[in-house]
Amino acid sequence: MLMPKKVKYRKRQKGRTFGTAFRGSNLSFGSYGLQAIDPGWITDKQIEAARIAIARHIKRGGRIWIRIFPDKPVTKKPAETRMGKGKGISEQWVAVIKKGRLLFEMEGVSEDVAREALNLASHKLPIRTRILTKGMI
Amino acid sequence: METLQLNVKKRKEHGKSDARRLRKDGFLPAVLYGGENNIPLIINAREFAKILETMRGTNVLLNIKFEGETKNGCIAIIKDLQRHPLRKGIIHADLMEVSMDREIKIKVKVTLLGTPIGVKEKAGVLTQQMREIRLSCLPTNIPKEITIDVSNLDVGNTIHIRDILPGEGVTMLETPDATVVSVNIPKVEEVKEEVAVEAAPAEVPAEAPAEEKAVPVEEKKKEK
Repeated sequence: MLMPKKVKYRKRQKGRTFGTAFRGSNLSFGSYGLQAIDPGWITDKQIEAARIAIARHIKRGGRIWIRIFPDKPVTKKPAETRMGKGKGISEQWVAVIKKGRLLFEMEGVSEDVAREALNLASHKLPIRTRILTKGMI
Repeated sequence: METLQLNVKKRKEHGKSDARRLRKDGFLPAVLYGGENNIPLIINAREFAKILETMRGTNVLLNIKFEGETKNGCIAIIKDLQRHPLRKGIIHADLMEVSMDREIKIKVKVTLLGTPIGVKEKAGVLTQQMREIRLSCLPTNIPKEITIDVSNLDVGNTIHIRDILPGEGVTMLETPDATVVSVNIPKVEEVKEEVAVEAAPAEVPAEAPAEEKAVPVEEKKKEK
């Protein structure tokens, strides 16, 4: 799973996601990409599941780029615990996604294969997405 | 080199809210630089979209005409376009004034021709590292695109910048060793690890009871 090697602070506040991602919203590496059209959090497990879905579908050939990184720790209190006694332990890592952000990019496969692979990946994610192609304006 | 006419107006209002109001009214905020001063402009969005449609991603020279001014216009190129990440509409344009007798630095699109042998016969993967190449040339010599024939590329073969022949009066600004296109052997996803993980839980319950039984026997002996 993707996670930072070390962080300055172990726990972070929740925050709110506003606006549109202008950075990281263009196809920079591949010819096809999966773009978020909703804001949200994507966990390390969801990123891995989506990556595996793409890799299994394209089998041999093609290259994949993961354009997001889960750098935000999310804490959780254990089950059946009374409130208080401090913030829970960090349980998972998430990437904070603004709408417009490119999540995955692909190269080296035909458009049909890329579309199917990215469609399979989109089913592993908690937000609505759309597929971008290089020539598309 | 094709030259198209673009009518523009000088813009007096600056800032976010004015730019938004302009876009709402069917105009496009733009800027013209490269001359004596930077000039903020207003362009008719529909007219500009038509020009882009004619260009189809290639570089063209624009003959800029200032509306309501007797002063002569100038020749410019489209240096940059800002698009909305979701709606994909153009939100701002950068125009750069050019002199016809001075070389300019420009990016030109790379087009690949044919299917490589390595992809057809050996299931290799064609990877295009560069989609645009930076060139230096006179505005009249700007090539429409750079075409590269990749049909002879085998697995492991690469086309570098030094392998491309630019046209007359055109200088490549990229490093000669930079890779433009390559055909690589695909990486295969390993599934073995997951099979082992799935099989492990099935074995654990079979062994576990035996251990559990063994422990009480020893404890009983100690008790005795």
